Amino acid sequence: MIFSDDLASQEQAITAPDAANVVLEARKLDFFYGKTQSLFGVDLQVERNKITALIGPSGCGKSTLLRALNRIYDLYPNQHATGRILLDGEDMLADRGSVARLKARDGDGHGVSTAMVDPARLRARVGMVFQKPTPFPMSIYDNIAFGVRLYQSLPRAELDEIVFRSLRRAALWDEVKDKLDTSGLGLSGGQQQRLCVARGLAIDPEVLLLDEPASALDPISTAKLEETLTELKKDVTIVIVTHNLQQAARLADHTGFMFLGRMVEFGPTSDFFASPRLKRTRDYVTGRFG
Amino acid sequence: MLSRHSRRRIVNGVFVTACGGATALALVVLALILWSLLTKGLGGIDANVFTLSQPAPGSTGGLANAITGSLIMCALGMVIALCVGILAGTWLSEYGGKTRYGHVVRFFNDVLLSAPSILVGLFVYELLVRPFQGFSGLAGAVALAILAVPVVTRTTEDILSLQPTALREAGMALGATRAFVIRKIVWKSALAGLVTAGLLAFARISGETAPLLFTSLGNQFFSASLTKPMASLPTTIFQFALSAYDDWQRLAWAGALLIAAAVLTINIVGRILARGTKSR
Repeated sequence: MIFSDDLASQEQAITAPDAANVVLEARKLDFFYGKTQSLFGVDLQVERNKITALIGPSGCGKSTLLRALNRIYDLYPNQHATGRILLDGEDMLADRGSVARLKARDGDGHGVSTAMVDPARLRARVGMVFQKPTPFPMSIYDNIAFGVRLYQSLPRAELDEIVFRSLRRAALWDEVKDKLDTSGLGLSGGQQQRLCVARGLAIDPEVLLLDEPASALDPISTAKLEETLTELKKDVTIVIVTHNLQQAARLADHTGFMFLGRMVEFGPTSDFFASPRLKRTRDYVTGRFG
Repeated sequence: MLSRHSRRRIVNGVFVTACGGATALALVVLALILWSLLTKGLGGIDANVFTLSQPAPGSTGGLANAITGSLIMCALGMVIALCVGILAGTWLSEYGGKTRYGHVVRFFNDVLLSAPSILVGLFVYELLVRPFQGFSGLAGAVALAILAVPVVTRTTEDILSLQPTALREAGMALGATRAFVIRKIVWKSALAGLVTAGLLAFARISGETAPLLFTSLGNQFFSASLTKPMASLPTTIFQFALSAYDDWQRLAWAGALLIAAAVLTINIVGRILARGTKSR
């Protein structure tokens, strides 16, 4: 495509975090919806126990990148990714199709093992919270226990402990402790979203991906969710996609700006907003386009 | 010449009147049917209808054999139809619906949905009656099941497609397999809709006559055996209504009222259940 060749020459300004602390990494990631390519050689390095925000105009590929990081796109047979996604150095994208595509693109497999990665195991390590709250049609307790029960059958007391702890970590405990056996659908939008965070936390993921988690919430619920996330980064690494630049500035340690399927600028949040290095980034964060 | 505005008002008035009139016509027909059922059927309903079997002309009797037969065949038919239909509808909605094969399956399901029920009866006759040399309740149940399967398949697919994609993704994001997410989350979230689908299909087959004529045949005695001919309300009504005996005709009206009342009740229950999910 002429269009993409044009963009390949586009300037980039990436300040990667210290390699020793990187937990999740995308390397030269291409992504396709059918024949339409929507990510072009994206590199992303996520630092452990930090919050990384992805910003950019609608359709820039930030949600696509997030959905690639735990392979949720696997649900749809016509979507595929080519490149590498490393979680603690282990290749998460390795399956037969992807390795074949990688070899076709780059000439060799970069020493990627052809051992199949089980996407379900990956998703247990990389949790995800979606734009709209997605409580399951069951009790609050069972919502949280759902993921835990997938991996182990615990005695009730231990399960209780995990459920209670997850609710506390998601700052929802005080609001629901007296009605754990009522339906999760009865909670308010903000509570439902924190229920989803708690549900993700219950299986102890290393990374939590959040796709515009506050876009359906009112300001107070948003503030509560942000507070929760800041608290959580002590033991979980967080990647958040947001349309809200102030939210990125408030929350994130690192911010990446994406445009037309490419990572344009990436760096520590303070530098990023105070002195963006590229004109395109500057225009976006000052509201001149997007 | 009329102004543009008043012309619009007249057109609007004509249109609203036409819509209202058509609705009234449909309702009047329905009311007339119910009225004649009530006036002619209510008199025939007494305890004997539920306790005694089909009488010889001139003696007392009831519809117990037909009611039991209908219940057995409809229930068995629904069990078969729900098993096949829910799985097929799930496959169409969650797995293969977008493939070429999926489109073919959906198309033939829709064809089956409007297939003449007498053809289904003949098909089952060739399949289960002739080879075993005898009419049977089982054959009747299978014929009813074949009629109900496309209804259940279609509604299952529709209801499951209404469940938000994010719900499936959220389940998968926790590391559950696709099948597990479907069984524990998608089905659960669609439960009320699925029950409604089942009830409506049940209502649909409970009044079917044609597919039973060649399969369960009918039986003037009480029989709960699936391998023997079995009575049913629609075939009994058919037989009695055509007869020359007043008491048989009275029983036919009573049976017709029973079916209509049952179908009405099932539909209302289905509606209430469906509304229950929406308001949640």
